[in-house]
Amino acid sequence: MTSKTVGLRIGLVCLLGGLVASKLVGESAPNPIQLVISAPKGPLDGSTVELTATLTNSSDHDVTIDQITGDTSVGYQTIVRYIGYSHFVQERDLKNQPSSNNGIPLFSMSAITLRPGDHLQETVQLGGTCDLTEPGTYVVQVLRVVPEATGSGVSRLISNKITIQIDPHSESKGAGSK
Amino acid sequence: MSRRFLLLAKLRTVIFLCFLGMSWRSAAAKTIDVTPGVPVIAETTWYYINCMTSAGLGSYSINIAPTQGTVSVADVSGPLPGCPTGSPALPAVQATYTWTAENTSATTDFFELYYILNGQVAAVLDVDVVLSGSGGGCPSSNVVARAKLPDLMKIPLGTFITTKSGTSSSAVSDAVPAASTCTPPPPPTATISANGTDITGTTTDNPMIVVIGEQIVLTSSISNANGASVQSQSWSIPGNLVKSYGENGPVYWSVSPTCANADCQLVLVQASELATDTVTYHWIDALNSCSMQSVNGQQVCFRTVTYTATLSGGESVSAQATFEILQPTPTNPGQPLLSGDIGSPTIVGRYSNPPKEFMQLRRIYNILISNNVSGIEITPNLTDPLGFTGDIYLLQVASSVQVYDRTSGGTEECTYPYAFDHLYSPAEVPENDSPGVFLPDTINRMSLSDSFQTYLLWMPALPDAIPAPLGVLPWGFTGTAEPRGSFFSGLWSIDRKGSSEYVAPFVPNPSYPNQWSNYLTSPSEPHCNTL
Repeated sequence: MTSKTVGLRIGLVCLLGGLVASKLVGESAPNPIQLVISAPKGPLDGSTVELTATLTNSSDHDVTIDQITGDTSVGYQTIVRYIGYSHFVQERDLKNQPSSNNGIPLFSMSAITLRPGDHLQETVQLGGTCDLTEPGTYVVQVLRVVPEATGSGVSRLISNKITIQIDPHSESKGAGSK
Repeated sequence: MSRRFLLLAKLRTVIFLCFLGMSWRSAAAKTIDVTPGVPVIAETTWYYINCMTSAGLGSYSINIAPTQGTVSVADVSGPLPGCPTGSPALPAVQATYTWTAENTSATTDFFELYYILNGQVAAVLDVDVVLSGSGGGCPSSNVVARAKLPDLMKIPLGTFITTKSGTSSSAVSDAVPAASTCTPPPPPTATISANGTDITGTTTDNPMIVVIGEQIVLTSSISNANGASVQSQSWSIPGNLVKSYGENGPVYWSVSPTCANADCQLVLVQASELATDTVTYHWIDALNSCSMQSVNGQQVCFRTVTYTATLSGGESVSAQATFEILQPTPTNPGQPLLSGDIGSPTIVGRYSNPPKEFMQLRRIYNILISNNVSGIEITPNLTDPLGFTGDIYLLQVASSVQVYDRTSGGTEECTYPYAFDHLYSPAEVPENDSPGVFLPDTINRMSLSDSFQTYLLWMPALPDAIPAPLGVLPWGFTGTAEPRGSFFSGLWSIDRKGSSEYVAPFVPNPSYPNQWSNYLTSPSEPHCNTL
């Protein structure tokens, strides 16, 4: 690829990114897909927290969306707020450092059609990307960002916020410091 | 001479010619039906010249005595059987049998008499005894055949003997006539029912039509058993027999969204289940162990099932039925049942700061148009069998190998045995898939090799049906990605020399994948090695 096309691509990325961002922020029509996350009840082990993301077609027409199989973390960014003595916020994305026994996230995307009222579920693993080793309460929200959707459009979704409680007994399982 | 005597003379001539080459000592067999304690006339024999004239009086000698009763012999007189009314009584010898055995399970008896004339055995008379009401005691077919020997026999010197069962005699007034014939009960027969329909005796001309994946419940029944019980039974059913999925088994898989992995297992019919009166199974193919015949220009699979049972009396019964097994056919006969349109490895980005990039299989990469086309589209080419409807499932299993160079040095190889297992439901067919890998900035080079097998399944819309495998489409790709350089931090490009893709020809093969799970939310744990 020539430097000219690379430049075009960078420009396109910025342009499309801006368009998408403006669409996300400024759109007046409701998003046809609602993203709702939930977590298991009760105190959780901070090293293995899994969220269930439910994507529901809340519109009155069919909507195409990319279903992610494999490592769904490629399609999710997480925003985690710790509620404790020292409040802090983590914004976490994909694991950037492959460990010696984890490999690098594999994924697959399949464009599917959700009819009005239909939903699909994906599992989002928090433990691998966020530091949840501090016992206490966290507020979690996820952003679903599919890389260049193969379907007809829905690529960015933001979820509700949920509160999760991390069990003090899971402290020793994590790698974090206190 | 009256007309009746002329006929008798002609009959004698015919019989004489028939026996001309035989020894004059003849054999005959009878079957009598008796009641315990009641004397029954077994045989009466006249030695005579004609209806008016006796040639003398013979005697009986018991050669083989009965085991369940007694035989008594007496001289009697009476008109010859077949002679005109008013014919004189002629002397005869008569044997009477009485069943005397008690507390025995026997229902038959046998004895043999010699008819003696002038000190020589003139005839051998075998008598089968059947206890009245016992059912299965009728003589075997060869005995019945022997019983058809003529009662009238000519011996040298132009004289005749006549034997007759059941002729009343004044000399044995309390004896009752024996039944002259035995009417055997109808033989036991077996029938086969499929899903409640009697299909016994169906052939390729009028087969029971079923479809792959359909549940078949074969049931046998035996009629006219005469109180006998089934000692052993077996089914002979050609083809691969799948009992169900949903019970414990060595291979697990699932095509039902409501079925958890542990509950979705393939169960084959066991040999012990073929030794009962009912067997439940599914044929999952119309290819193996078939009698292929041409019907309306198409090769059609026929299979004949056989049920065999051995009864407590030792008799064996069996029944057969023939099935015609249908399966979907290509909508376009010139094309395979499954084909794929595949793209090539390419770089896609995610709009974040800093940007994230991925290597992914896409069919179109155009710098000016969003890459909104999936990496592969797999399309079935199926038409439901005539008279049936069904759904198409695509069951995909995959493995993946990634080799990458760390920026910190060293090369890592990670293998994922089960990478993108997925079931495409009927609503998701044709299948669109875009496998890929994340490209972090901590590596210098990524080579990804994914191998896929997409199984084509068809499930009839029938109760308790299961998806039947029709074949598999192998496909995959190898992609190699490299960073563009420090100036383009975070951006990658494809090394075309290290990249390729393929869709192999569809393989018609009616077998399920060895191992598959629909609920792998992430790839299996990789096996990683530092190279």
